[in-house]
Amino acid sequence: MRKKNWYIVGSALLASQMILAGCSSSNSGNGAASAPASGSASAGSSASAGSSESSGGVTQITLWHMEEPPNRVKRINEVIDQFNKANPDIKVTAKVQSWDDAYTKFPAAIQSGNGPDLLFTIPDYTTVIKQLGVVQPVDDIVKSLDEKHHFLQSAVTPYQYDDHTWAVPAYGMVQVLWYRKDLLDAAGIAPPKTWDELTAAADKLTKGSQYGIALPASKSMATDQVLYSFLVTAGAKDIIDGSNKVTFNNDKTVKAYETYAKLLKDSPADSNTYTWGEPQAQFNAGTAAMAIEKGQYLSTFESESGRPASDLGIAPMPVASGGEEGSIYYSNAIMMLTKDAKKQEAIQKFFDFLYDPSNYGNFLNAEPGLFLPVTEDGAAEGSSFWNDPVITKYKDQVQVLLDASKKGQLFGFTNGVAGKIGQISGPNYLAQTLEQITSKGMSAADAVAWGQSQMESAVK
Amino acid sequence: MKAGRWIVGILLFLLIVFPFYWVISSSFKPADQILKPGFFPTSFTLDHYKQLIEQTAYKRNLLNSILVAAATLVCSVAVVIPASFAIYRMKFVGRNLVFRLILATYIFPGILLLVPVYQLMSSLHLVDTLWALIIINVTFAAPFSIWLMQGFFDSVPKALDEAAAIDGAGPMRTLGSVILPLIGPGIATIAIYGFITSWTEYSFASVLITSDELRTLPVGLKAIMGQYTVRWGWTTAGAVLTLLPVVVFFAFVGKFFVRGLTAGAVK
Amino acid sequence: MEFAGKRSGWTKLLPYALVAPIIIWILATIFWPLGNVIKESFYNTGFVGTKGSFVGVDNYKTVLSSQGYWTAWGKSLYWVIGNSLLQSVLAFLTALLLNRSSRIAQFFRTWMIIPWIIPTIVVAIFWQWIFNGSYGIFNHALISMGLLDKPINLIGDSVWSMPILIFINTWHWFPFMTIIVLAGLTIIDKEMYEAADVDGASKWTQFWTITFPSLGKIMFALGLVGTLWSFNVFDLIEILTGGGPAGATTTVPLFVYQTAFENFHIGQASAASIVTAFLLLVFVTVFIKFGSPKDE
Repeated sequence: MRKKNWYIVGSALLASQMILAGCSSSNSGNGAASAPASGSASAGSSASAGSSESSGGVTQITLWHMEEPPNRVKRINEVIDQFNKANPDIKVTAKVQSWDDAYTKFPAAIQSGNGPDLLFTIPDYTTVIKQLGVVQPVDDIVKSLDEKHHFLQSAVTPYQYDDHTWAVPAYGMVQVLWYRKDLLDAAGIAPPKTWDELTAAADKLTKGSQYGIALPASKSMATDQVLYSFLVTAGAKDIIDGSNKVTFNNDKTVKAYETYAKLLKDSPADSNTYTWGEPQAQFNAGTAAMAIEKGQYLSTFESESGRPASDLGIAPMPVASGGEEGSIYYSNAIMMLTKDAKKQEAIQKFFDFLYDPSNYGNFLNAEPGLFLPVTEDGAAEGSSFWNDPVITKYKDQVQVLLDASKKGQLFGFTNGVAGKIGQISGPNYLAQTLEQITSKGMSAADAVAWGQSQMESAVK
Repeated sequence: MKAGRWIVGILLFLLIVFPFYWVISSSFKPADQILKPGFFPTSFTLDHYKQLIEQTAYKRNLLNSILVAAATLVCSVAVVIPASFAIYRMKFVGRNLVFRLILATYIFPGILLLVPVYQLMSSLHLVDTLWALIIINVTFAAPFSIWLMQGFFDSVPKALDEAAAIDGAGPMRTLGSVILPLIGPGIATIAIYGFITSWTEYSFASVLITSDELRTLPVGLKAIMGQYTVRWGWTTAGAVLTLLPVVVFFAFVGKFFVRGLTAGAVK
Repeated sequence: MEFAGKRSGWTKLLPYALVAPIIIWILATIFWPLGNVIKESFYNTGFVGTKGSFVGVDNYKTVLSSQGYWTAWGKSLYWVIGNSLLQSVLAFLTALLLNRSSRIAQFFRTWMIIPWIIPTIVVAIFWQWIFNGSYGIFNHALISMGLLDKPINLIGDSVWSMPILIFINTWHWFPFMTIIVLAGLTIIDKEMYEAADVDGASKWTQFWTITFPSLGKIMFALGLVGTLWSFNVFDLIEILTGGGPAGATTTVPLFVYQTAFENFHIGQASAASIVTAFLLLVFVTVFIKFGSPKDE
């Protein structure tokens, strides 16, 4: 019997080789596609290994970003092409990825050496990916850029812990209240400044096929973010502290959830399937009069709503009585995953190019209004940021966004850096707490208590 | 009875056809019309298609999907036919074990294999190549194909094998010159099955490919659906462009596939 | 005569050489990764790519005592049974209608399978667009017929989401099942029906006494493979609801995925997979033992 097993293995190997040979020859037409395929694979396998893959003296840098819409992909590639042209000894290659794969494909790729040299990130994702042990400190790069361009402190802080800076802030995003000026004017309503005014306005604007507001209520990052803007303005921004102690369950949080649930009655019936896109679509269609979101509303408003730019109203996030001004703000940043000295040198050059005020604005305006400058000279009058036609047209709105970023907050990073915030944002516990109210009929107080216990066991 | 038959028939027909009609007609509606449900389109535009083809890598994705599906087809036939020949025509120790092993591939929820399969492909230096997708698609297509081949092999009388043996033909020659010509429809069926399995696969294609230029159609479509704006014009047009090639393919081979499936599954 | 090991050497090895490629293929792409999953199930690994430490059977204890896991099993049973019933009904109806040799029946036989050949993501887009709570034609039609006064949100409803998903998955799969049933129908001897007609048996009786029993083998295969296929459906649910709202459509594959990649407990997710695979194995064994059609 044992002898036979050896025969099996032996003949198996033989036959499989025959088959594989057969396959590859029968697919010779495939060669065209598999040749560049394997080529790019070897270029991509650079990542963490630390070996310099400079063919012909050109240092190859791969960069992954998650800005999928075609207009963003195109602009980012243009900026990178300019850099490559100016630096013939360096070649940066951008590959667009999906946030959906951030917790499956990315770590698997990084761990097995197929990851990129530069990876876009957000603060909580950095705490998670840092566990892989490949994220390199960028203290020196950030310091030298800071001397030249002056980073906004709130953009850098979420990446500074464990004695180092772990990513270079690239652009900020902040939430505000968007409103349809035409619809509010028609109803004789002034832009709401407080929660009471917000709920009253939403009530009054809901009539016929029109809804007062469109809010996401699915289990998603989009919902987490809008909810957090409510937590901030309720005065409950600290949900977890630097030692991972969860302080979610309190009266102010409960009040925020109650208000959110109440507003959902003035939001379309399918709100619990919404993430980012749907409220915006409802807003542009005039089905919803208000929405709470980031700056991506600028570029498509005119073409999709058929209304003049002046009908796109913007106001800071309304505040609860006893709460504080603010909303969610976070900087996206770029992590460096390579240890290779030559590559790091090239990356330094790339950053010097990127943050130069004459280039930085072109990069930011890959999505005008959504990507806000994180450097002082990047936002300064006369920088390339203000050259974009969309930014010029909505100058006042952009100023509101820039002001709002100064009062921004991010959960997990308000009271020290909670190293385990990823365990709370990964499963979307903020949004799940809301689902307990909207789908399971719990009271806000019970739901928040449920959320507290879920979060506690998640960070244990 | 006859009337009932017609009513059921028409309802089933509508059930199958309506979603196609609705998505296809929506994809031709201008952006300001698409959100207003009108059963019959009042105006017509090709804008969504033009924008998609110009601004996204649709053509590249299509080519990748075709390459992967074609190679999956070839490789799955190449591994399934010899294995079926052995399983259904030869006696050997462990035959049942082989059969069970193949069935067992259905038992495991594939989703957690994502990461280990990634690691496997990585150790073979196949990540971010179309080969990785071909390999995994053959794994998905082969077990059912083997099961399907049973009927076709059974339909070839064993007497023919015997006659060939008496003429001095070895097993391989018997397979090549006696059996293969008779199971042509079966080969066509599993070939098409392999093609379609590959065409529809999404999860692994999304994880194993990192370069835009190697994405397959379903992955490209998911990217088109976008994360910040819901563009139903693009989404519906993208859906149409994704299903169109496989429907065209099916228009040519569908008859053989269905005929083969009805013949193979019964024995 | 079969090609038994009459001649020595090469001929004896031939069957192994012939099955080897597929076996290696499957071992490498399913069972080797599976080995990894088994290993991980004994480690407290959290995030993909990090190293956990050995914890023995702790993960199994956690999973077996986890309410979430068994709730997911409840959803999975609902899902599998719902799919089997609905798919069987539609597949039989369609197959009985098309089981004739007219040209039109032949034409529809080929074309009715197209819901099955299109990618899952396209299926998801189709029905998301139709059932959309704001712009969907379904709501629009019901409202204009006066059956509803406000749009309803089927896919996001905690009660309706599961039946709707079952319906959508059935739409995707029943054409394939139809072909298999048709395959079974073609071999039934027509004379049996003629004899029954003479005896005055109704069509209904004929279906249950002749058609259904003759399909034993087909039904068995469909029951086995179809159940496993439905059980492991992941893409469609993930794209349409992501398991929501509030877990209403979190079947076992979704639960495993969320545990691994959203809650970052690869170890526990691996243990859940192994327990699931074991339970499915029990199902398969029982099904084969008691469901196997007798050879007449």
